[in-house]
Amino acid sequence: MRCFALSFVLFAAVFLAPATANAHAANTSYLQADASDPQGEVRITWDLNAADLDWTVDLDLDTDGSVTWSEVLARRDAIASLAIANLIVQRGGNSCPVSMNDLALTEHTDATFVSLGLRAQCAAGGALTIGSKLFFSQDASQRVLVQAKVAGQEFNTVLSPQAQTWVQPKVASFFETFLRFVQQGIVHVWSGYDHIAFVLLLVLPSVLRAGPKGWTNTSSVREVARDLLSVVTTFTLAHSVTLTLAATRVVQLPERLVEVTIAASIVAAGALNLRPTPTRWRLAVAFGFGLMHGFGFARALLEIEVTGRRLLPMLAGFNVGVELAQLVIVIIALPLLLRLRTFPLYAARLMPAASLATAAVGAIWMFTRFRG
Amino acid sequence: MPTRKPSMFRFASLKKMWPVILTLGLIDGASASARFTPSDGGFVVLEKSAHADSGLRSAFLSAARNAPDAGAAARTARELIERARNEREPRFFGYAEAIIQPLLRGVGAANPELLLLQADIQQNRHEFTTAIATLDRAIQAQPHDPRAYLQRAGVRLVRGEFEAARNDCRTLITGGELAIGSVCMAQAAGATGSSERAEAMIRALLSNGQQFDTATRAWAMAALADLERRHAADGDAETLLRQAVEQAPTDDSIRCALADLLLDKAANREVIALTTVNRPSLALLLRTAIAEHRLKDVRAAETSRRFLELIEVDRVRSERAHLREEALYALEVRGDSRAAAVLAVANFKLQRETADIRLLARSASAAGDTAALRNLKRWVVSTGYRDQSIEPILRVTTI
Repeated sequence: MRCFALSFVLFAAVFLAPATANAHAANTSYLQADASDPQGEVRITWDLNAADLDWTVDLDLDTDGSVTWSEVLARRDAIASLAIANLIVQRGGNSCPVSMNDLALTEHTDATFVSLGLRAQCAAGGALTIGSKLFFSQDASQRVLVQAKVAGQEFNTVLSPQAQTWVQPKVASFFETFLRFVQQGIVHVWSGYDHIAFVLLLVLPSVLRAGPKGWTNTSSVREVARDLLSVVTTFTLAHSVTLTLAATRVVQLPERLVEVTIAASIVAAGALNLRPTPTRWRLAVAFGFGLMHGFGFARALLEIEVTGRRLLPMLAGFNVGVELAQLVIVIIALPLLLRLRTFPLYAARLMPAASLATAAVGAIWMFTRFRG
Repeated sequence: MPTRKPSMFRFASLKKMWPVILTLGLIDGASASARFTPSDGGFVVLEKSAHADSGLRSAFLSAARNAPDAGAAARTARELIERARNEREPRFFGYAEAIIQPLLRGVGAANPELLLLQADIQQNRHEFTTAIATLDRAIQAQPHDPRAYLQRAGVRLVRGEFEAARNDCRTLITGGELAIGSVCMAQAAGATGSSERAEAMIRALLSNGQQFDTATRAWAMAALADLERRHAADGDAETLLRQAVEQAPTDDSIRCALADLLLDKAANREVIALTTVNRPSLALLLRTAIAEHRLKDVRAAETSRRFLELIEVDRVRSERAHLREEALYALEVRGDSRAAAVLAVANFKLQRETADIRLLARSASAAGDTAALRNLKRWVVSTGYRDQSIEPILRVTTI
């Protein structure tokens, strides 16, 4: 151990307590690319940290210890060559020649950056590709933060020594997005037990009639269908409205409030089934709480990661998906319910018991969702 | 007022020049941050210190462009890392890594010298588990290098792995590095055991006129201050930290520790004076923001903006290495204890220094996060960790 002692004291200074509050480098350059010109030209602004640039190009010509604006201008050609040699711009796989228009200064995170105005002459059209290897060979923590505007969309990406190129992703067509969100809507309803529970609780009494002595079975299939349809349509109307309002961020509610109220809707719907209640009460519950369910759907919709948000196919698709999923539940439930109503105990015991049990689960959900 | 060594690069303050530049210069409206062209050619873009070492730069460039031997690479990288710390120029960590990385991939994959440097760079990025793995390899390649044990002990302490840290400190002592090893052991053992003995040991070493260089001295003082603050509310921790800051003016970790002590005392103006430095680290900037916010200082909004910009760059780069700062900001500036508690819990998984543990206790308590408090208490009980300032909070926590 002794033979290390000489350099040890020096090292102790360097290798001591990891010092988690010390500065950690953000060796970053910022690249903005605007490819919205229909002629195909891509306008680029590339901001390079003056310190990084000086380290590579040596801007201090008179070696007086400071770099002035004239010294930067004097090295304009070297700076241009450096940037152009390390930048790749392509459209549709074809490389575009890059030239530098102008040089300026700017500021990011309290540091001075040299801002290069570049132009890439591309033949119009084709997926945009941006690649950089600037500073990567001499700086392992260098990153390029890229912001690209193309085809009316904005993309943000980070280039690194391990990922030096970005290619514009193929944008899904309207129909593709629509279908994808139909699927998402279906998945959300079928995996969202709270929505299923609410709908089922609402339709359980569809095969019954509220009489003065309690629930009695109705024998008319037409009556059943009409009741079912009215309840489901009311629910659908309510949640579609709020889904749209919330997804477009016109109305926003706190997440916890929405989740707790959705759980409360199950308690309410379950409670309604314990006594014979007129259809209009059930419709009121379907509508009132349906509004809240719409907020729940909207949150799920907004959480889905998507590049290039296109609201119309997303919203329309999701809504359609939700209704389809609901429809399937009802189509499966209806024959079962029609069958169940022939059992005398359905009205008196089975239906209230199932409603009570589900309502209890709803109450538990209310509690846990409230606690957060 | 301690004199600071001029850093190699110092950016000219643009703040004074804005009115002149804006009226005379060119602003490209298309870009997010305003571009400008100075009307005066003498406008200073970058300032280097008078001691700028062009030798270092040429050594670096030759190492980066040619295939250097491990020795040359290690020397250059070491010097860069030293500059990074001494002159508050953290970009040099990236430059250093660029030189040693290719060598660690090839034939020299197990070169202990390079591995130590790599571990240092990793720990600086807060990649603590990776750093420990690298140090394990270094020790395997060279089992008798005290630097590796010291470094590993340090990282293990940050991770709250006290038992493992003690083992490394013990190895240092038995290997003959008594002074450094003792401070190391005092830190590791004092965290969970007889803090008084640990404190006495460090005091003895400091007053003994031991041949500590200034940086090591500062480290020992900061370690002692930390032990004192955890052991007893009063003490001369403040004096110790002030001396430590004087000894190591560019060590932001020590500066932040003093800032936190002063913030606890509500000495807000002093915190601002202490933390306002040229190109502050994110952590220092945060303490400035907290103090300014408390005083409703006019600069508070701008400081917050600067802090959030740094955090945002971190986030975009997918390097969330500042969860502690994010949590503190949420707690102290935004008053959002729930968000702070969530961040503090996430931070605690990565690092467990005094500041991290206190942050978790405070924010979880403020947010009423009993689950987090229970987990913390379980950890405290199992490690035997001691900190008087969190005891009142833990006392009312039942596990």
